[in-house]
Amino acid sequence: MTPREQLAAEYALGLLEGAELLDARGLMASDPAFAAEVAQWEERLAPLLDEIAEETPPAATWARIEAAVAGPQPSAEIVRLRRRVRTWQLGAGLAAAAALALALLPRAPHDLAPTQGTPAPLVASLEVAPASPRIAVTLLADRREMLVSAVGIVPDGRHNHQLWLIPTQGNPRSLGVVQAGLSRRVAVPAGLSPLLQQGATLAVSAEPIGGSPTGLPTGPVLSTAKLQKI
Amino acid sequence: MANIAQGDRQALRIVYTATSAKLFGICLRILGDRTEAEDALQEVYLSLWRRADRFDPERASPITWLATFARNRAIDRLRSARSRTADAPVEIAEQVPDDSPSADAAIESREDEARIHHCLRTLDEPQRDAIRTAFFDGATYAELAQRKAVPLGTMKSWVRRGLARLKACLEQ
Repeated sequence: MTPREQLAAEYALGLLEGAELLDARGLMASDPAFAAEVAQWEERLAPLLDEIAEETPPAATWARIEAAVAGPQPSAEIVRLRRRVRTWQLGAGLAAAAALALALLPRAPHDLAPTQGTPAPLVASLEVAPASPRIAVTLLADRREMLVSAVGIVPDGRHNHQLWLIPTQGNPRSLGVVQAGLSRRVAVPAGLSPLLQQGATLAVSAEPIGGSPTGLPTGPVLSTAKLQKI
Repeated sequence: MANIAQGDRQALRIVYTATSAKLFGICLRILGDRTEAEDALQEVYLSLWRRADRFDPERASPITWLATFARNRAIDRLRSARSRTADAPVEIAEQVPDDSPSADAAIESREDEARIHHCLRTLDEPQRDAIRTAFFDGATYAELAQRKAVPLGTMKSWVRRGLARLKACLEQ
C-alpha cells in the first residue's frame, strides 16, 4: 500500500490520533480520492458490525429526538435554507462582535473595517465536544487578524485548545492557543495570511496547557472546519 | 432515507424504529456506557435529520451506511471523552473474542458481505487481534500497544502488515 492508502485504512479503522489524525481529516476534506479510499474501507469493514448484538434503546431517547425535531413540518427548501441560516448565524453574530471590537480599538477603525472592495470576512466553527459550544473563528477582512470566540467553553485546567491551519501541502501550522471562555482578537501568525483563503481547513486539537510543545499537534484532533464566507 | 432529507418526521420515526436497536448496540459496544451511548445515538439521528442528503444510495445500503456512521460518531465521542480525561489511566477492556462460532454461523449465509471475515482469518493472530480490537473497541495504536505491552512501532508494523494483507485478500 502507498502511505496514503495506509493512512486511509488506518483512519477508517479509527487507529489514528494527534498529527496523523489531523493529516487524515485534512485529506478527507481536500482529497476526494482519499475520501473514496476511506469510504471503501468503511464498506469492507461494515459487515463486522453485524457481530455486535442489538440493544433496544430506552424510550426516552426517541422522546428526546422527537422533541429536538419538533416544529412545523418544513419543506425541502426550508430545510436547506434553515441549514444555511444555522451555519451562518454564528458567523454573522461574530461579524457584529468583530465590528464592535474594532470600534473600541484605539486606532482608527476604518483602517480595518470591511469596506466595499475588500474581501468579506471568513468564518469557521469548530466543535470541541458533542453538544458543547463551538470555537468560532472570524477572519477579519484584512486577513491579518482574527476573532477567536470560545465563549461558553469551560477550561478543564489540564488542556488548552489549539487552533491549526491545515495547508494542502506540508505540516499543520499553529494559529495559537484558544482562551477558553473568552472572545479574543488575535494576530494571524506571520506568513500565514496568504494561506487563510476561503476553503482553507482549520482544526482544533487538545494540547497541554500552553499549547503543543513541538509546534505540531500532539493531542487528539477534536474537529476540522473550512473557512467560508459569511 | 430520501424522505428524511426533506424533513419528514414520520420518515425519521420509521428509520429509527427499524435501525435504533442495531445502532444503539454499536454505540454501546464502542463506548461501553449506556448514557454515553444514548447521547451518541441521539446525535446520530439528529445528524440524519439535519443532513440526510449526505447519504448516497449508490454507494451503500442505508443500514450499512447508518451503522458505519454510528460507529464513527461513537469513536469521535470516545476520543473527545478521552481527551477530557487524558490523565486517567486507559481502561483495559477485555480482549475482543476471536471469531466466535455463532458469529461464523451467521456469516456463512451472507457470502458477498462475509469476505472480510474470510480475509481476517487469513491473518496472523496478533494482526487479526489488533485489527478487531481497533474496530470493536475504538482503540488507537497507542492503546493497542499498551494493551499488548509491545512498543508502539511494533504494533504499527503488525497492523500495517495486516491491513496490507487484508486489502490484497479483499481485492482478489
